[in-house]
This record gives sequence, structure tokens and C-alpha cells, in this order.
Amino acid sequence: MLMTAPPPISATGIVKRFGAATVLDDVSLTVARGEVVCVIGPSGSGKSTLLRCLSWLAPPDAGRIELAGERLGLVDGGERLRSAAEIRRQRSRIGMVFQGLNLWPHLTAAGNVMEGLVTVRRMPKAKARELALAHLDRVGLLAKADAYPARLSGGQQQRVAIARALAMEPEILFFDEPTSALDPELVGEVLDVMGALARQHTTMVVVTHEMSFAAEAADRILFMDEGRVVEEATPASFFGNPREERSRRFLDRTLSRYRLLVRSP
Amino acid sequence: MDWTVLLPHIPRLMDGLLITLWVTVLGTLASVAGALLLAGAAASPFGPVRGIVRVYTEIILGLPILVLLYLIYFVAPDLGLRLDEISAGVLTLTLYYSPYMAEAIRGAVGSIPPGQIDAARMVGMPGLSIARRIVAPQVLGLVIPPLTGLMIGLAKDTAILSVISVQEFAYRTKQVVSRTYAPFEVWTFVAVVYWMLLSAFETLMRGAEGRALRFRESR
Amino acid sequence: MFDTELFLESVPTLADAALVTIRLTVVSGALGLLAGALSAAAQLSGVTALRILSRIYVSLMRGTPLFVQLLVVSFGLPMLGVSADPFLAAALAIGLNSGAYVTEILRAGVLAVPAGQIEAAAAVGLSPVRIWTRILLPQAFAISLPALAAELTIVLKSTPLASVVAVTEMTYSGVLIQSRAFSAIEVFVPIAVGYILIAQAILRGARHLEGRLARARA
Ligand SMILES: Nc1ncnc2c1ncn2[C@@H]1O[C@H](COP(=O)(O)OP(=O)(O)OP(=O)(O)O)[C@@H](O)[C@H]1O
Ligand SMILES: [Mg+2]
Repeated sequence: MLMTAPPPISATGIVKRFGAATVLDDVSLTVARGEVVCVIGPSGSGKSTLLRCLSWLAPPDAGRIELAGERLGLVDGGERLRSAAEIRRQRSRIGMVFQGLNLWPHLTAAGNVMEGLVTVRRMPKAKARELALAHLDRVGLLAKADAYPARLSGGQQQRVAIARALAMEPEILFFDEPTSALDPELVGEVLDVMGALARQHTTMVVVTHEMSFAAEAADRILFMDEGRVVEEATPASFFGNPREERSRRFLDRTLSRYRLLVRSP
Repeated sequence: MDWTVLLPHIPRLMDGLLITLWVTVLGTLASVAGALLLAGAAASPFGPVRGIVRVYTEIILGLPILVLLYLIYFVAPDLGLRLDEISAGVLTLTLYYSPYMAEAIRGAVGSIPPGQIDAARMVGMPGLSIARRIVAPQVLGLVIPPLTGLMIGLAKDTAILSVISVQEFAYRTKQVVSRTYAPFEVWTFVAVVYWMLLSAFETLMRGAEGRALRFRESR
Repeated sequence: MFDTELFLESVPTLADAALVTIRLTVVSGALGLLAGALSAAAQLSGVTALRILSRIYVSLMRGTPLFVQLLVVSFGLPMLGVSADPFLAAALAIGLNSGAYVTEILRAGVLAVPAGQIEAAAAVGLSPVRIWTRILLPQAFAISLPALAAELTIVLKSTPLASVVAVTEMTYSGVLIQSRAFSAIEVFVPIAVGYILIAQAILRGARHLEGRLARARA
């Protein structure tokens, strides 16, 4: 039975166009349970769009997505759109942490985590709060449960956002460059939380520019350029000996900048 | 200057003030309702609906409220719409202030980062819940300052209803002026009354804004 | 229903009155800009007395109807021994009223100018007055141009109130014709169109000027 359980997410042949531009061109990706996939690639290569397609925030123009074996967004072999309520139910099985700071500012940290539990899962408030506190504890922010986002640092806000996503007990977590809006000194605390999740075998797709995180935490690297998956490899093989010319050039540019940074006194 | 001439006429003035308050409240409620309608229509997926809202807004942006009042009170009856003075006045205030208030609402809604909406969609919240629980609580605080300014404008503009003989504050004042022959004293007194009431209202609203946006305080 | 003859008869009268409206708008708008610039400078001057004075001015103007202000000015000026030409009294009242809103617009505009520029100007030895006239106001004006244009349309829309002090601008001229002819549509519809056209001219003019300023700086 365990062997035949469907993967949390499996996408084949995803195509997404904006007007005349094809932003995703035949992208396929399957993530096994407990697997951590890091997506890297130059700016504009379609990484955010991929996550938005996989969560149906931006429905793809072609392709097939399965969420734990269930067709996402469409039914009847892709003939008919699911109802809005069905899509919401499916979407709530995916957790997403975005690039920007997107906490709801009028709710406390705990309020942010509870919101989905109360309004979507119809959980009683007391129980939702208990769960929210447990998840805030997991990201090290139990003490800040009743603080409004304006009183939290960017790093703390992103950790609350992670707790908010975790609380819905999703099949899979998506991260879209969760540290790129943060001051350098706050990046570490967020990556630490993500690293801990990875070690606990949380199923995750992480779009990131943090090469050292990808090298350490990923089971697999997906390198994208111009809307296509150019190379798919283990971190050791990708960073040690990239197969594709484009991967090599990207790494040269990114890593040389990285080395320059760490060498400067 | 002799301010005592005013005293016997205070009750008459206060009667007018009550009508002013009544018209202001009616006009505000109707304008806010109209504004919500317009703001909704401006976000409509149908191009022609958005077009109508835009043209209507442009027209009001250029039309003096007094002219609008004349159109409604003098011209509309020729076209078959006959209204009593108060209704014509409230309709004028509503037609005039709705687009301004709609702009204020649109501005506040537009200032909410789209990422917050995406985050709400990702936990599976339906559109109505997102509007009610994520957007509305923030918009409520953000629209208070512009809406307060517009409500004060509306309250002051009720004075022009005196030209169609609505017996509000300014109308009663004119009557008192013609009885006392002390226009400067009477109008100054009236100005002070308006000023005190509207300043108190503004202070009240500033308090409400502070409470509604308390979550923004960083320390 | 639409009396074309009455309409054609009224056109010259209304056109004359439209010129009065435009003149009143321009004069009031200029007075408002002057009052607003002075009051914004007072509010940002750091001199407590000036700041309080400016606050009271703004609060009084915003807190009372223009209609009432017009009457207070037109009855008050003679008491101060100033013979009040109705046009000037109206322009003064409308201008002072608008000045309160211009204060807030310019204040926001000045605050949008980076503080470093003021320090730099002070460092090269510019006097405070020069800093205001050379550095702050020109930039604040450029930043505030769209808001100032919107304010000018509101000045335009306030001019019909001048009829309460017997200035025969466009709306009052329409009222006079209407009370003679007992027909409203032939006068008020063209008047409405007239206002909308003038307002559009103001807004478009401002957009044009904005583009020129942006290009001049680029
Ligand atoms: N809503 C949209 N409408 C039109 N074009 C879009 C839209 N969203 C994304 N694009 C385009 O699609 C391409 C891919 O964008 P995407 O945001 O997915 O890139 P990315 O890999 O996430 O880049 P970054 O590293 O800068 O976040 C870009 O060229 C972008 O301009
Ligand atoms: Mg991106």
C-alpha cells in the first residue's frame, strides 16, 4: 500500500502564456512524499509562475496537475473546471509562503495562523488557537503570539507565514524566495526554520536564490531558464558538475558573486 | 456690533440646524451606499459598465453642485421627475458625493497588497470571506480620513439647499438676518456653530481612525 | 419641450457670463495658491505662533461652509471700511477658502522633498527664504500639480456661490434667464456642459504641464 500511495504533487506538460509570451513551456515535475525540491534559475525564468500554476492561483493553459492523485482544478479528464468551492478545498491542501511580507496586518500572529482554521476548516476558536500556538512554537515565536505584524521583524513575519501555512496541515509546502525581501541579517532565522522542516521530511518545493541552502537541504535541484526545466539533478551533481552549459554559466555568475561576498573582510 | 439681537432667534435657528443634521445624515448614508455601488461597478468585468462609471465620474468632477441641484429641481420635472425639496436636496448630495466617496474606497482597497489576497486564497478562503475578514477591516480604517473630509464637505453643502427653500440652518439664518438687520453678527454666529460642530466631528473621526488602525503601531 | 429659440437667445448672455466664471476661477485660484503657499510655509516654519495661526486658518476655512464665508466677507469688509466690489469680495472668499486646501496639498508636497536637499542648500549658504523660493516651493509645486489641478476644478465648482453676493457668473446668469422665461432645460443643460468643458480643460492643461515639467527634469 505504502509503495503505491500517489505523490503529493505531480505535474506534466505545464504551459502558461501571458498574451503572446510563453512563460512556462512544457514543464513537468513530480515531488515524492518527504522530498525537498529546490527550484533555481535566473530572474524571469518562470519560477514564481510555476508555483502559481501548481496552486491554481494562475491556472495553466495546458498540462495536468495531480494533488495526491486527484486532478487539480479540472474534472472529467480535463474537460470541465471544478467548482470554486472544490478548487478552494484543493488549494487549502497546499501551503504557500510568498516572496513579499504578506501577513494580514490587522490580525495578530496567532490570528493570522488561526484564520484559515476558523473560516475554512470551521474549527472552534479555542481549538484553533491551541493549534496556532503549537505551530508558532514550532517556528520559535510562541512569545510573539499576540503581537501584530507591525511589531515583528521581517524574519519573524516570514516565520509566522510559515506557521500559517503549516497549520492547514498541507500535503506540500511551496516557498517562493521567502528570504529575498529580508535584510541580510534576518535571512538566517528563516532558512533555519526551513532547514528544520526539510530534516523532518516535510514535502517542499523551494524557489530560492540561496545556493548554500539549496546545496544543503535539497534532495533534488530543478534548474529553470526561459520557462523550461534545463537540468534536474542531485545537489552534489548539479553544484559539483553541472551537465548543461546554461547551468554552468548561471552557477559561475551566482557563485563567483557569492565567493566574492564571503572573501571580502 | 450688537450680539444680543440674536438671542430671541436662537430657537428658530436651532430648528434649522436640526433639518441640516437630518439632511446630512440622510445624504451621507445614501452617498456611502451609492459609493459602494459605484466602486463595485468600477471593478465590474463588463467594459460598458466600467465605461458608464468613468463618464459619470468625469461629469461630476466638472459639475458644480449648485448646477446639479438646479438640474434636479428645475429641469428634471420637465422630464417627468418631480421631487419635493428635501428629496431633491438629498438626491443632489448623493449624486454629487457618491463618485468622490467611491474614489476614496477604491483608493483604500487598492492600497491593500495583492499578496495578502493571494495568501487568503491559498488557505482556501472564499471571495466573500476575503472581502469581509481581510479587506474590509483594513479598508475601514484607511477610508476614514478621506471619507471624513467628504462628509464634512457634504454637511457644509447642505447650506445650498436653502436656494430651493429647504428650511435648514442657512435658510433660517437668512430669515433671521432679514428680521434683525444684523447680517455680520448673525452670519458670524452661524459660522462659529458650523465650525464647532464640524471640528468636533473631525476630532471624533480622528479618534476612530486611530482605533481602527491601531494594529499598525510598530512600538 | 426644448425651446431652441430660447436656447439660441441665451447663448451670448451665457457666453459672457462664462467669461466671468473663468475670470473668477483664475483670480480665486491665484489667491488660493498665494494664501496656501504662505500658510504652508508658516506651518512648516518651526515658529510656533505662525504654525498655530496657520492651523486656525485651515480649521476655520474647512469647518464652515463657503456660502457662509462669502456672506461674512461681503458684510465684514464694509465694516472694516473697505468698499467691497462683489467680484473682489467673492474672489477673496473663494481664494481664502481654497487656500486652506492648498495648504495641505503643498505641505504634503514639501514634505515629499528629500530632507538632504535642504541640508545641502543650507550648507552652500542659501538663506531660509531662498531655500523656500528656490528649492522647496518649485519642487513641491511640481509634485503637487495633479492635486492642485483637482483643487482648481473645485474652485471652478465653487464660483456659482458668488451669486449670493450678486456676481453674475454663469450659473446666476442662468437663474436670471430662467426666472424670466420660466424654462430651465435650455439654460441649465448648456451651463452644465460649459462647466464640464472648463474642468476638462483645467485637468488636461495640468497633465500637459506635468509632462513638460517631467521632460524638463529628465
Ligand atoms: N501576470 C503576468 N502578466 C504578464 N506577464 C507576467 C505575469 N507574471 C509573470 N509574467 C512574466 O513571466 C515571466 C516569468 O515571471 P516569473 O515571475 O515567474 O519569474 P521568476 O523566475 O519568478 O523571476 P524572479 O526570480 O525575478 O522572481 C517574466 O518575464 C514576467 O515578466
Ligand atoms: Mg519570482
